[in-house]
Amino acid sequence: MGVVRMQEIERTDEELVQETLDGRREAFQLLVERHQSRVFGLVRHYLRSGAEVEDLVQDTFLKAFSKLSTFQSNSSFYTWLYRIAKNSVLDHLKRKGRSPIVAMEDPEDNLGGMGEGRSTGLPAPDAAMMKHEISAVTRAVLEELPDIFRDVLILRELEGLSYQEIAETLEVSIGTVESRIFRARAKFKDKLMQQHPEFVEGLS
Amino acid sequence: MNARNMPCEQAERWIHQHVDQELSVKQVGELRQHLDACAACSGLYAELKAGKAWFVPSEAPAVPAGFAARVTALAFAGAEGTIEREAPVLAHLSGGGSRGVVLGGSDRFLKRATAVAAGLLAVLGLALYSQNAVSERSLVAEEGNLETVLEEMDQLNQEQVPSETEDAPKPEESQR
Ligand SMILES: [Zn+2]
Repeated sequence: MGVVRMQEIERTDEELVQETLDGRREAFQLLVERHQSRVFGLVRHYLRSGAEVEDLVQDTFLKAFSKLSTFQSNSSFYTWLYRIAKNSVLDHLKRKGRSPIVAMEDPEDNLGGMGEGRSTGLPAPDAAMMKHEISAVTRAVLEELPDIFRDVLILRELEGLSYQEIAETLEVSIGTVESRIFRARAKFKDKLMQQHPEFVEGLS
Repeated sequence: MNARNMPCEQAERWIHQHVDQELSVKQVGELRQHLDACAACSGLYAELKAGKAWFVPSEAPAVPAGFAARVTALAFAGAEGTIEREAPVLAHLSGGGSRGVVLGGSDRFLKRATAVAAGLLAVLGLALYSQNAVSERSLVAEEGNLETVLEEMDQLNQEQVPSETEDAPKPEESQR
Protein backbone atom coordinates (compact mmCIF):
# COMPACT_ATOMS: atom_id res chain seq x y z
CA MET A 1 0.00 0.00 0.00
CA GLY A 2 0.93 3.60 -0.61
CA VAL A 3 4.28 3.86 -2.25
CA VAL A 4 5.70 7.29 -1.55
CA ARG A 5 6.90 8.92 -4.70
CA MET A 6 9.65 11.48 -4.60
CA GLN A 7 7.59 14.47 -5.64
CA GLU A 8 5.13 13.72 -2.86
CA ILE A 9 7.78 14.59 -0.35
CA GLU A 10 7.70 18.13 -1.63
CA ARG A 11 4.07 18.67 -0.81
CA THR A 12 3.35 20.76 2.25
CA ASP A 13 1.33 19.52 5.18
CA GLU A 14 -1.42 21.91 4.20
CA GLU A 15 -1.62 20.41 0.74
CA LEU A 16 -1.70 16.94 2.16
CA VAL A 17 -4.49 17.93 4.52
CA GLN A 18 -6.50 19.26 1.61
CA GLU A 19 -5.89 16.14 -0.43
CA THR A 20 -6.92 13.98 2.48
CA LEU A 21 -10.13 15.94 2.72
CA ASP A 22 -10.61 15.26 -0.96
CA GLY A 23 -10.48 11.60 -0.15
CA ARG A 24 -6.92 10.73 -1.07
CA ARG A 25 -5.81 8.00 1.21
CA GLU A 26 -2.12 8.17 0.42
CA ALA A 27 -2.06 11.85 1.30
CA PHE A 28 -3.14 11.01 4.81
CA GLN A 29 -0.71 8.15 5.05
CA LEU A 30 2.05 10.53 4.07
CA LEU A 31 0.99 12.94 6.79
CA VAL A 32 1.11 10.14 9.33
CA GLU A 33 4.51 9.02 8.10
CA ARG A 34 5.83 12.53 8.38
CA HIS A 35 4.72 13.09 11.93
CA GLN A 36 4.47 9.67 13.53
CA SER A 37 7.96 9.70 14.93
CA ARG A 38 7.51 12.98 16.75
CA VAL A 39 4.11 12.01 18.09
CA PHE A 40 5.47 8.70 19.34
CA GLY A 41 8.30 10.56 20.99
CA LEU A 42 5.96 13.03 22.58
CA VAL A 43 3.51 10.49 23.95
CA ARG A 44 6.39 8.44 25.29
CA HIS A 45 7.35 11.30 27.54
CA TYR A 46 4.06 10.89 29.33
CA LEU A 47 3.37 7.16 29.35
CA ARG A 48 5.45 4.19 30.24
CA SER A 49 3.92 1.20 28.55
CA GLY A 50 4.67 0.72 24.88
CA ALA A 51 1.21 -0.66 24.21
CA GLU A 52 -0.43 2.38 25.77
CA VAL A 53 1.79 4.61 23.71
CA GLU A 54 0.91 2.99 20.42
CA ASP A 55 -2.80 3.08 21.16
CA LEU A 56 -2.64 6.71 22.06
CA VAL A 57 -0.65 7.69 19.00
CA GLN A 58 -3.14 5.81 16.87
CA ASP A 59 -5.99 7.49 18.63
CA THR A 60 -4.32 10.84 18.07
CA PHE A 61 -4.12 10.36 14.33
CA LEU A 62 -7.66 9.06 14.11
CA LYS A 63 -8.93 12.06 16.01
CA ALA A 64 -6.88 14.32 13.80
CA PHE A 65 -8.40 12.67 10.77
CA SER A 66 -11.91 13.13 12.03
CA LYS A 67 -11.26 16.78 12.85
CA LEU A 68 -9.17 17.52 9.81
CA SER A 69 -11.63 19.94 8.30
CA THR A 70 -11.19 22.15 11.37
CA PHE A 71 -7.44 22.45 10.91
CA GLN A 72 -6.44 26.05 10.27
CA SER A 73 -3.23 26.42 8.41
CA ASN A 74 -2.24 29.48 10.43
CA SER A 75 -0.73 27.10 12.93
CA SER A 76 1.59 24.31 11.92
CA PHE A 77 0.16 20.86 11.47
CA TYR A 78 2.48 19.49 14.11
CA THR A 79 1.42 21.92 16.81
CA TRP A 80 -2.19 21.15 15.99
CA LEU A 81 -1.40 17.46 16.25
CA TYR A 82 0.42 18.04 19.51
CA ARG A 83 -2.68 19.47 21.09
CA ILE A 84 -4.72 16.47 20.07
CA ALA A 85 -2.03 14.12 21.37
CA LYS A 86 -1.80 15.98 24.64
CA ASN A 87 -5.55 15.85 25.14
CA SER A 88 -5.53 12.14 24.42
CA VAL A 89 -2.83 11.65 27.01
CA LEU A 90 -4.73 13.67 29.59
CA ASP A 91 -8.00 11.83 28.92
CA HIS A 92 -6.18 8.57 29.19
CA LEU A 93 -4.52 9.46 32.47
CA LYS A 94 -7.83 10.66 33.85
CA ARG A 95 -9.56 7.44 32.88
CA LYS A 96 -6.87 5.49 34.63
CA GLY A 97 -7.22 7.62 37.71
CA ARG A 98 -3.76 9.05 37.36
CA SER A 99 -4.83 12.62 37.21
CA PRO A 100 -2.10 14.97 36.14
CA ILE A 101 -0.73 17.34 38.69
CA VAL A 102 -2.23 20.73 38.16
CA ALA A 103 -0.45 23.84 39.26
CA MET A 104 -2.17 25.41 42.21
CA GLU A 105 -0.86 28.91 41.98
CA ASP A 106 -1.67 31.23 39.15
CA PRO A 107 0.92 30.30 36.60
CA GLU A 108 0.72 33.55 34.68
CA ASP A 109 1.81 35.89 37.42
CA ASN A 110 5.32 37.26 37.16
CA LEU A 111 4.90 37.30 33.44
CA GLY A 112 8.24 37.14 31.81
CA GLY A 113 9.98 37.39 35.14
CA MET A 114 11.78 34.90 37.27
CA GLY A 115 9.09 34.50 39.83
CA GLU A 116 10.45 34.05 43.27
CA GLY A 117 13.65 36.00 43.42
CA ARG A 118 16.90 35.23 41.78
CA SER A 119 16.90 32.03 39.76
CA THR A 120 19.41 29.37 40.48
CA GLY A 121 21.10 27.11 38.04
CA LEU A 122 20.77 23.41 37.76
CA PRO A 123 23.81 21.39 38.79
CA ALA A 124 24.95 18.78 36.32
CA PRO A 125 24.19 15.09 36.77
CA ASP A 126 26.84 13.08 38.55
CA ALA A 127 29.56 12.27 36.06
CA ALA A 128 29.28 8.54 36.76
CA MET A 129 25.72 8.37 35.53
CA MET A 130 24.86 6.65 32.28
CA LYS A 131 22.60 8.36 29.79
CA HIS A 132 19.68 6.07 30.43
CA GLU A 133 20.03 6.58 34.17
CA ILE A 134 19.92 10.31 33.69
CA SER A 135 16.86 9.92 31.53
CA ALA A 136 15.13 7.82 34.15
CA VAL A 137 15.77 10.32 36.92
CA THR A 138 14.71 13.23 34.74
CA ARG A 139 11.55 11.45 33.81
CA ALA A 140 10.71 10.69 37.42
CA VAL A 141 11.25 14.31 38.37
CA LEU A 142 9.20 15.58 35.44
CA GLU A 143 6.34 13.37 36.50
CA GLU A 144 6.23 15.16 39.81
CA LEU A 145 5.94 18.59 38.27
CA PRO A 146 2.67 20.40 37.67
CA ASP A 147 1.88 19.86 34.05
CA ILE A 148 2.28 23.46 32.93
CA PHE A 149 5.91 23.20 33.94
CA ARG A 150 6.41 19.67 32.73
CA ASP A 151 4.99 20.53 29.31
CA VAL A 152 7.38 23.38 28.64
CA LEU A 153 10.38 21.38 29.77
CA ILE A 154 9.43 18.47 27.55
CA LEU A 155 8.85 20.69 24.56
CA ARG A 156 11.93 22.81 25.10
CA GLU A 157 14.51 20.39 26.43
CA LEU A 158 13.44 17.06 25.00
CA GLU A 159 11.64 18.03 21.81
CA GLY A 160 13.85 20.98 21.04
CA LEU A 161 11.08 23.43 20.17
CA SER A 162 11.73 27.16 20.07
CA TYR A 163 9.84 29.55 22.38
CA GLN A 164 7.77 30.60 19.40
CA GLU A 165 6.84 27.02 18.56
CA ILE A 166 6.02 26.25 22.18
CA ALA A 167 3.82 29.33 22.35
CA GLU A 168 1.91 28.16 19.28
CA THR A 169 1.65 24.65 20.56
CA LEU A 170 0.35 25.60 23.97
CA GLU A 171 -1.61 28.58 22.69
CA VAL A 172 -0.03 31.01 25.10
CA SER A 173 2.13 34.08 24.63
CA ILE A 174 5.88 33.92 24.29
CA GLY A 175 6.17 35.83 27.56
CA THR A 176 4.21 33.10 29.27
CA VAL A 177 6.41 30.44 27.71
CA GLU A 178 9.50 32.21 28.96
CA SER A 179 8.14 32.68 32.42
CA ARG A 180 7.08 29.05 32.63
CA ILE A 181 10.44 27.78 31.43
CA PHE A 182 12.33 29.86 33.98
CA ARG A 183 10.12 28.72 36.77
CA ALA A 184 9.99 25.15 35.54
CA ARG A 185 13.77 24.99 35.81
CA ALA A 186 13.61 26.13 39.41
CA LYS A 187 10.89 23.60 40.22
CA PHE A 188 12.82 20.88 38.47
CA LYS A 189 15.85 21.64 40.54
CA ASP A 190 13.87 21.65 43.79
CA LYS A 191 12.31 18.27 43.08
CA LEU A 192 15.60 16.86 41.94
CA MET A 193 17.32 17.93 45.13
CA GLN A 194 14.50 16.51 47.22
CA GLN A 195 14.24 13.20 45.44
CA HIS A 196 17.68 12.44 44.16
CA PRO A 197 20.36 14.53 45.81
CA GLU A 198 22.71 11.58 45.38
CA PHE A 199 22.75 12.04 41.63
CA VAL A 200 23.62 15.69 41.65
CA GLU A 201 27.18 16.50 40.81
CA GLY A 202 29.20 17.62 43.78
CA LEU A 203 26.60 16.77 46.39
CA SER A 204 27.41 13.16 47.08
CA MET B 1 32.37 47.02 28.95
CA ASN B 2 30.39 47.50 32.05
CA ALA B 3 28.10 45.17 33.94
CA ARG B 4 26.06 48.16 34.95
CA ASN B 5 24.96 48.61 31.35
CA MET B 6 22.74 45.66 31.94
CA PRO B 7 21.05 45.04 35.24
CA CYS B 8 21.47 41.53 36.65
CA GLU B 9 17.73 41.02 36.38
CA GLN B 10 17.86 41.40 32.64
CA ALA B 11 21.04 39.35 32.38
CA GLU B 12 19.36 36.55 34.26
CA ARG B 13 16.52 36.48 31.81
CA TRP B 14 18.85 36.57 28.88
CA ILE B 15 20.92 33.75 30.31
CA HIS B 16 17.90 31.47 30.18
CA GLN B 17 17.20 32.62 26.66
CA HIS B 18 20.81 32.15 25.74
CA VAL B 19 20.98 28.52 26.86
CA ASP B 20 17.82 28.02 24.82
CA GLN B 21 19.38 29.65 21.75
CA GLU B 22 16.80 32.38 21.73
CA LEU B 23 19.15 35.36 21.65
CA SER B 24 20.38 37.18 18.61
CA VAL B 25 24.12 37.38 17.98
CA LYS B 26 24.05 41.00 19.05
CA GLN B 27 22.29 40.17 22.30
CA VAL B 28 24.74 37.38 23.01
CA GLY B 29 27.54 39.93 22.66
CA GLU B 30 25.90 42.26 25.16
CA LEU B 31 25.26 39.43 27.57
CA ARG B 32 28.86 38.31 27.32
CA GLN B 33 30.00 41.71 28.45
CA HIS B 34 27.82 41.45 31.50
CA LEU B 35 28.98 37.92 32.25
CA ASP B 36 32.63 38.95 32.04
CA ALA B 37 32.03 41.55 34.67
CA CYS B 38 29.57 39.77 36.95
CA ALA B 39 30.55 36.64 38.85
CA ALA B 40 27.04 35.86 40.06
CA CYS B 41 25.56 35.86 36.58
CA SER B 42 28.40 33.96 35.00
CA GLY B 43 28.01 31.33 37.71
CA LEU B 44 24.33 31.03 36.89
CA TYR B 45 25.11 30.75 33.23
CA ALA B 46 27.64 27.96 33.81
CA GLU B 47 25.21 26.03 35.93
CA LEU B 48 22.28 26.35 33.61
CA LYS B 49 24.41 25.17 30.76
CA ALA B 50 25.66 22.20 32.76
CA GLY B 51 22.13 21.42 33.92
CA LYS B 52 21.09 20.86 30.32
CA ALA B 53 22.76 17.48 30.66
CA TRP B 54 19.73 16.27 32.60
CA PHE B 55 17.73 16.43 29.44
CA VAL B 56 18.82 13.79 27.04
CA PRO B 57 16.98 14.57 23.83
CA SER B 58 14.73 11.81 22.69
CA GLU B 59 16.28 9.51 20.20
CA ALA B 60 14.18 9.00 17.13
CA PRO B 61 11.60 6.72 18.67
CA ALA B 62 10.90 3.40 17.08
CA VAL B 63 7.66 3.43 15.18
CA PRO B 64 6.07 0.03 14.75
CA ALA B 65 6.31 -1.27 11.20
CA GLY B 66 3.31 -0.50 9.06
CA PHE B 67 1.89 1.93 11.57
CA ALA B 68 1.00 4.67 9.08
CA ALA B 69 -0.70 2.24 6.73
CA ARG B 70 -2.73 0.75 9.56
CA VAL B 71 -3.85 4.10 10.87
CA THR B 72 -4.75 5.23 7.38
CA ALA B 73 -6.81 2.12 6.77
CA LEU B 74 -8.63 2.60 10.04
CA ALA B 75 -9.19 6.29 9.43
CA PHE B 76 -10.70 5.77 6.02
CA ALA B 77 -12.65 2.78 7.17
CA GLY B 78 -14.19 4.96 9.84
CA ALA B 79 -14.83 7.91 7.57
CA GLU B 80 -16.65 6.01 4.90
CA GLY B 81 -18.73 4.16 7.39
CA THR B 82 -19.95 7.21 9.29
CA ILE B 83 -18.00 7.60 12.44
CA GLU B 84 -20.16 8.17 15.44
CA ARG B 85 -17.79 10.36 17.29
CA GLU B 86 -18.19 9.73 20.87
CA ALA B 87 -14.54 9.69 21.74
CA PRO B 88 -13.17 6.53 20.25
CA VAL B 89 -12.74 3.86 22.84
CA LEU B 90 -9.41 2.24 22.62
CA ALA B 91 -9.66 -1.48 22.67
CA HIS B 92 -6.56 -1.60 24.76
CA LEU B 93 -7.88 0.80 27.36
CA SER B 94 -11.14 -1.01 27.83
CA GLY B 95 -9.24 -4.11 28.69
CA GLY B 96 -9.50 -5.90 25.38
CA GLY B 97 -6.35 -7.38 24.04
CA SER B 98 -6.82 -6.70 20.37
CA ARG B 99 -4.43 -4.15 19.01
CA GLY B 100 -5.09 -1.70 16.29
CA VAL B 101 -8.86 -1.72 16.14
CA VAL B 102 -10.88 1.23 17.26
CA LEU B 103 -14.22 0.39 18.69
CA GLY B 104 -16.97 2.73 19.58
CA GLY B 105 -18.36 3.82 16.26
CA SER B 106 -21.61 2.92 14.65
CA ASP B 107 -22.44 -0.55 13.54
CA ARG B 108 -21.35 0.29 10.04
CA PHE B 109 -18.09 1.67 11.24
CA LEU B 110 -17.60 -1.45 13.25
CA LYS B 111 -18.13 -3.54 10.18
CA ARG B 112 -15.64 -1.47 8.29
CA ALA B 113 -13.18 -1.77 11.10
CA THR B 114 -13.82 -5.45 11.14
CA ALA B 115 -13.18 -5.55 7.43
CA VAL B 116 -9.85 -3.89 7.97
CA ALA B 117 -8.98 -6.20 10.77
CA ALA B 118 -9.98 -9.08 8.59
CA GLY B 119 -7.62 -7.84 5.98
CA LEU B 120 -4.84 -7.63 8.46
CA LEU B 121 -5.55 -10.95 10.01
CA ALA B 122 -6.13 -12.42 6.59
CA VAL B 123 -7.83 -15.76 6.58
CA LEU B 124 -8.64 -16.04 10.24
CA GLY B 125 -10.25 -12.64 10.46
CA LEU B 126 -12.16 -13.26 7.29
CA ALA B 127 -13.52 -16.54 8.45
CA LEU B 128 -14.95 -14.97 11.55
CA TYR B 129 -16.31 -12.03 9.67
CA SER B 130 -18.00 -13.95 6.96
CA GLN B 131 -19.74 -16.14 9.45
CA ASN B 132 -21.97 -13.36 10.54
CA ALA B 133 -22.39 -10.17 8.62
CA VAL B 134 -21.41 -11.18 5.16
CA SER B 135 -22.00 -14.85 4.85
CA GLU B 136 -24.63 -14.28 2.20
CA ARG B 137 -21.99 -12.75 0.00
CA SER B 138 -20.43 -16.16 -0.25
CA LEU B 139 -16.97 -14.97 0.34
CA VAL B 140 -15.01 -18.10 0.80
CA ALA B 141 -12.12 -17.76 3.09
CA GLU B 142 -10.22 -20.64 1.60
CA GLU B 143 -9.88 -18.84 -1.69
CA GLY B 144 -7.74 -16.53 0.27
CA ASN B 145 -6.80 -13.94 -2.34
CA LEU B 146 -6.46 -11.06 0.03
CA GLU B 147 -6.74 -8.31 -2.50
CA THR B 148 -9.89 -9.63 -4.07
CA VAL B 149 -11.36 -10.14 -0.70
CA LEU B 150 -10.56 -6.64 0.41
CA GLU B 151 -12.00 -5.22 -2.75
CA GLU B 152 -15.19 -7.11 -2.24
CA MET B 153 -15.32 -5.99 1.32
CA ASP B 154 -14.98 -2.48 0.13
CA GLN B 155 -17.79 -2.81 -2.30
CA LEU B 156 -19.90 -4.45 0.28
CA ASN B 157 -19.39 -1.65 2.68
CA GLN B 158 -20.12 0.94 0.10
CA GLU B 159 -23.37 -0.77 -0.68
CA GLN B 160 -24.22 -0.56 2.94
CA VAL B 161 -23.77 3.18 2.93
CA PRO B 162 -25.34 4.26 -0.33
CA SER B 163 -25.68 7.90 0.64
CA GLU B 164 -21.97 8.33 1.02
CA THR B 165 -20.43 6.19 -1.64
CA GLU B 166 -19.48 8.93 -4.00
CA ASP B 167 -18.58 11.61 -1.56
CA ALA B 168 -15.05 12.09 -0.58
CA PRO B 169 -14.67 10.98 2.99
CA LYS B 170 -14.86 14.36 4.57
CA PRO B 171 -14.12 13.52 8.13
CA GLU B 172 -16.79 14.33 10.60
CA GLU B 173 -19.23 15.99 8.27
CA SER B 174 -22.78 14.83 8.52
CA GLN B 175 -22.38 14.19 12.18
CA ARG B 176 -24.80 15.85 14.54
ZN1 LIG C 1 24.89 40.01 36.96
